Amino acid sequence: MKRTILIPTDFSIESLNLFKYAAQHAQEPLNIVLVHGLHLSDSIFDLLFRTRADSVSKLTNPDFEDACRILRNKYASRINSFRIEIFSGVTQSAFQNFLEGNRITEILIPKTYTLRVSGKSFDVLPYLRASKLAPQEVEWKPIENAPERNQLAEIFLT
Amino acid sequence: MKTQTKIALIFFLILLSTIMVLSASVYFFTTRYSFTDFYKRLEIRGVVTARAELDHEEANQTVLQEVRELHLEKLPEEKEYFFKIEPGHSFEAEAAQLSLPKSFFSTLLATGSATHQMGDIFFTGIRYSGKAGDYLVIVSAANYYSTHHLAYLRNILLIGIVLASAVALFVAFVFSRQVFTPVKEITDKVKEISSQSLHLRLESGRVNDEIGELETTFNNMLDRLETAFETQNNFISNASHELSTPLTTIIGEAEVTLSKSRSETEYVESLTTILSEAERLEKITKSLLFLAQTGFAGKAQKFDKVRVDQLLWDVKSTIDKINPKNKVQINTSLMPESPEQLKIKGNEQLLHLALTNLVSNACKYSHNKPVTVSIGAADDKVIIVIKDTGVGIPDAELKFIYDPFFRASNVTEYEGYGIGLPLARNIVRMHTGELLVVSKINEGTTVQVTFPIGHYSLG
Repeated sequence: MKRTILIPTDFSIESLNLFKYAAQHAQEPLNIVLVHGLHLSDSIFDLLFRTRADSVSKLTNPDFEDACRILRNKYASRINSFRIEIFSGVTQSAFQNFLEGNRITEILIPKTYTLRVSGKSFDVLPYLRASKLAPQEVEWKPIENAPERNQLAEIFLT
Repeated sequence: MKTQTKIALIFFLILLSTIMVLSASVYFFTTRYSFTDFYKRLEIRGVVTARAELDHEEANQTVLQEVRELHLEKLPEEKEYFFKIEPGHSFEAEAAQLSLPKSFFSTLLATGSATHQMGDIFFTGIRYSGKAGDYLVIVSAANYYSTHHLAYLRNILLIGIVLASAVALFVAFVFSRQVFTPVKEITDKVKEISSQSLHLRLESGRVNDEIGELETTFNNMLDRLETAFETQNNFISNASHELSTPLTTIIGEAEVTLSKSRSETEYVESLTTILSEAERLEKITKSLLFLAQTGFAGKAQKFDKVRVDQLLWDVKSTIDKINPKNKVQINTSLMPESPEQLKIKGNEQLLHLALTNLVSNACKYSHNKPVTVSIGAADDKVIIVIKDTGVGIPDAELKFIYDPFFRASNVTEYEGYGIGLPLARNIVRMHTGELLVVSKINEGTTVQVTFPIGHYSLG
């Protein structure tokens, strides 16, 4: 069975360090799933007509997308598939369902980095930590003061 | 003609033609209906009269007489004619007598009914088969309705058209004025802005409509104009300063040397100074010329396949020659697996020049501290990131860095003329790329250059 790795994201370049780590340590082609916590909208219009792709495109930004593409091109032979999923559940069992639905086999989480959430987004890290899949923690050196912070260039330098 | 008048007229013509079409169709269909209706009425009269006159049924006759008197009022100029149908009779005499066309009788004989109109008088003929034999019954009467009611309807419609077009004309002019008021306001405001008052902006109250967009576009254009004016002013003052410094040195040196006779070594010394200053002057003018050339969009450059990683290694070897103490590292950790994604369309010499300028700047302003040059590729672009940990650029001055001859306030100890970066930007722009500079003072500068991928296939 192919390994499918779940990685939390807040659509910042820095959070892609997990992706980089997963790809660097992969031996065989991986499926990579980025997950972002987003509460369901209250609006009936959104519930009826807004697709998951719409909500992702609202949250993401061109630099983040380019950074994903750079990583996918870099590790083209090690990444079998790559997608971004939205988790909207509240309970741990909902998250368990999410894991089963996406056939996740492994979870990577950051050791010190905290996801930046705003608006209707929420932090998915507690769900990931509590899951039965025993998440692996990854540590990297944060760059706080560099001029390229939150720019596409950040992906090259961490 | 002003657009305002044009719109008013078009609006008016549309309204007018709609009203005309409506009135004409009302008139036409009413007329047609009234004719058909009248022929029907004549036909009924024909049947009733025929039964009363021709069949001579005692019982029925009184009833029919009563019906005629009670329910069918006498029409103006109502006349009934009965002609017995006899084989071989052609009805030519009757036609002449009633001054009806012969075709009327032939249609009547063939189909059993016919209609004809002669001025105000309408004729309907039917074929009646009763006890007394086959007869042709022809009823004629004047159509009072058509002569009077239709004329009345026509008058109403004509007056209506006149009144409605007066209203339409008025509305059209009010409407077009309403539409063009904001445009007129903008024109008035823009007239106030001259080259002396480029700082003025249009007040954009509206946000989402077309006029608001127009105002924003105007304001953006004014922003660019103002910047261009400022750049021009800065350029002239900086350029004259840069050019005059070596000239002043040359003139001063020459004057001092010429003031009295000197020894040979002194002459050599002063001539060396003059030569080095003249060389500096030449360098500045040359780079200025190059800047002007690359700034022109008109001059077509030959574009060819360039591999970005190869280009970067070439740049590194050039820098190694110029400045052996440099610590440039090329970071290929994010280089894509497929070399297809590293090929761009460009002019190798120009790209080499631009990147050499950027990398040597990074080395120069960081006292040869390590400089990382990274390379990566997204699906449709190649990205080169040049990062140094040098002096950085003050935030307030970041917007001037592309001005020729501009030098940041914290780089006075470094040699340079401020032409490298504008030149690099011109070259990147020629390749429809993007140059992005982010910097923090005393932390370093990161330059991100993006080129669109050339879509060359392998091999």
